[in-house]
Amino acid sequence: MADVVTLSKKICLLGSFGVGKTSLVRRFVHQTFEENYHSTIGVQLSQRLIALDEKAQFNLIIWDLAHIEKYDNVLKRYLHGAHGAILVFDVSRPETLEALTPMRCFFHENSKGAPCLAAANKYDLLEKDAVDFDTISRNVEALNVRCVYTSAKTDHQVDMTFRTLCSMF
Amino acid sequence: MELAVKDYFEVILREKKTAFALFDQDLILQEYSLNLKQYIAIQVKKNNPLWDVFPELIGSEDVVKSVVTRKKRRFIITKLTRFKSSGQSCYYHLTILPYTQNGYAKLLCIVSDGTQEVALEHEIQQKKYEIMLLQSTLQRSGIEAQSGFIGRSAQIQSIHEFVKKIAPVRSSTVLLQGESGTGKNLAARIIHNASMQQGAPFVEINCAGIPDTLLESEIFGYEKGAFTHALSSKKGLLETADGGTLFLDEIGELPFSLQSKFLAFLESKRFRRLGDTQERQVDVRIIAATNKDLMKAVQNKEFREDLFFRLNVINLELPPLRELDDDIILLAENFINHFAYSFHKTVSGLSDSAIKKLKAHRWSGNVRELRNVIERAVIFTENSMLDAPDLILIGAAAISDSWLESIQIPQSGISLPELEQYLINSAMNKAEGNVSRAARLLGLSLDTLRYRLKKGGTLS
Ligand SMILES: Nc1nc2c(ncn2[C@@H]2O[C@H](COP(=O)(O)OP(=O)(O)O)[C@@H](O)[C@H]2O)c(=O)[nH]1
Ligand SMILES: [Mg+2]
Repeated sequence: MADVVTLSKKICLLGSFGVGKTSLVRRFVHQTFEENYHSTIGVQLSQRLIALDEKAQFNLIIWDLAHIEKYDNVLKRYLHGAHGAILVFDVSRPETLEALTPMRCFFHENSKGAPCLAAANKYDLLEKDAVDFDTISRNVEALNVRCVYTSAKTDHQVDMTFRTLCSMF
Repeated sequence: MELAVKDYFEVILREKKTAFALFDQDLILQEYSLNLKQYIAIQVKKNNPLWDVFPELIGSEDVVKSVVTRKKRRFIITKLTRFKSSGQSCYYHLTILPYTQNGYAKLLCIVSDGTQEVALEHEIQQKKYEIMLLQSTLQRSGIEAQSGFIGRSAQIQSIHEFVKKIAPVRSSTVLLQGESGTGKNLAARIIHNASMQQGAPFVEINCAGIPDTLLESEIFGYEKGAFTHALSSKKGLLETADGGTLFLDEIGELPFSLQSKFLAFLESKRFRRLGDTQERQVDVRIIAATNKDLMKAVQNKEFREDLFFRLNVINLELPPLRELDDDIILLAENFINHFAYSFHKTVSGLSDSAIKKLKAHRWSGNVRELRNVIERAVIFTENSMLDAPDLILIGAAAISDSWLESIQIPQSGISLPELEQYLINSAMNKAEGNVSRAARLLGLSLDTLRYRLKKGGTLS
């Protein structure tokens, strides 16, 4: 164990309010889910180790950011030096996917070359609501990032999402 | 006994809700205040590296370096908190500064408490976002099931038929009539959704309660200088709705003076902004709605006949809820599902007595009333199924069968008009002359009772 190399990586979660950023982190780090909504202010920091192979592991510093209302210096400082980002939207609210375009651009400008991934969260709602898959995939395509369908509620592909991002470092 | 100097510091720092940590040139922890762990939620020890104590600085190695070397005077990250699976989280602001001790460059990290400041912001934001989330859930379920018009009754089926027929005829004007709460607004949206491309604007305005001049400038827009306060020009709703639908609710309240101008627009699809000489043309479908008897308004010379006929080309009458029979239950169940989902409750269905109660009610507020009753019931119930006591109905109790049976028509017969007049008079007495209260007692709309009172000579 002694010669395991630890690489620390800063990951930011971006997306409109209520899409499930905090829930994804809670699921990923603590393996729990909360039905009640608690809005996030500023930044909530979490940490989790992910083993890469026998010799290396990632120490993920996860920045769960509050809903972005302004693209200003405060946000710039939050994003500074990020190694990657997960852009989260809610499959049942198409407007949250649209909101990702400016976030993606801003992230791209402020952390050149850092990989990005989209998480189409609340996948468990897809059957209930007649969500239009085609529209989602078309809009995700326009965003020009890989997209993983997730559910923090049913633990669908949550680990996978973080691991996929790690594979892009 | 005197406290040591260092202990003084601890007291002051705790009192001032500030903590610190001092790192040497190699960014190894040298000194820190005891209250630090309260904020960063981890145990720290001397000789811990900076990155373990403040993982929020990972990624900002370049900035840290410029601070230590005094290229940068300070670096601040505000409103941070660490995820705790339990308990209250506290917020802090992190400031890092260069510091020199005995000729060595060091790094001073100051943690100041932001919990109170954030708590207020949080309270406001939480409410705001909760409302927005709820709204979007409501909206979604509106689109999803085209709800409000679910049902198997002939009336509801004919609404669906109607929408299907008129949707492709985009240029036609539609008039929706029905008591308040029957879903005229929803019908307008459904027609819009069925006939327009996605993203086409749906613009609505309620003609009641807006002063005449304001209504005119809202609908038609104005040019700079058109009137005293017109400091810049503004698009009207007709232009905003270009390519989509303009929904005018309570068209019966459209002031007489505006009616001719609006008619002219309907005929030509052209109009001018206030204070403008240029004519504009738009492609807008007009949907108008009213809970008034427009025909009567025409007879009373309150509504232009020509405008009425122009609007009335395609006319949809929305039935009151009490005429929908079993569909009341279907609708109620739909609302139960919807609200149970929104409020995270496990409520499904209605008990037999609840069904009876819903069917017996008069529903003078129609679908809107039903929706409110169910919403309240879902919030407050402790049952897994809504029961009669969960349903708080206001207004007239339904007439019980036994009461009706007790009325016997005498051999000599009765005069129904006289009986009606008698009931109206006693309701008026009971309501102490207040017409709207009497209308509620009788389960009539205000307009209907007014009409009957006039007919009976009670009201002039
Ligand atoms: N059904 C469902 N609900 C979810 C999921 N993820 C989050 N939620 C709910 O959505 C709401 C907002 O989640 P939250 O994580 O606070 O969103 P954030 O504002 O992006 O951090 C909460 O009520 C969660 O319980 C999911 O995957 N499925
Ligand atoms: Mg959050």
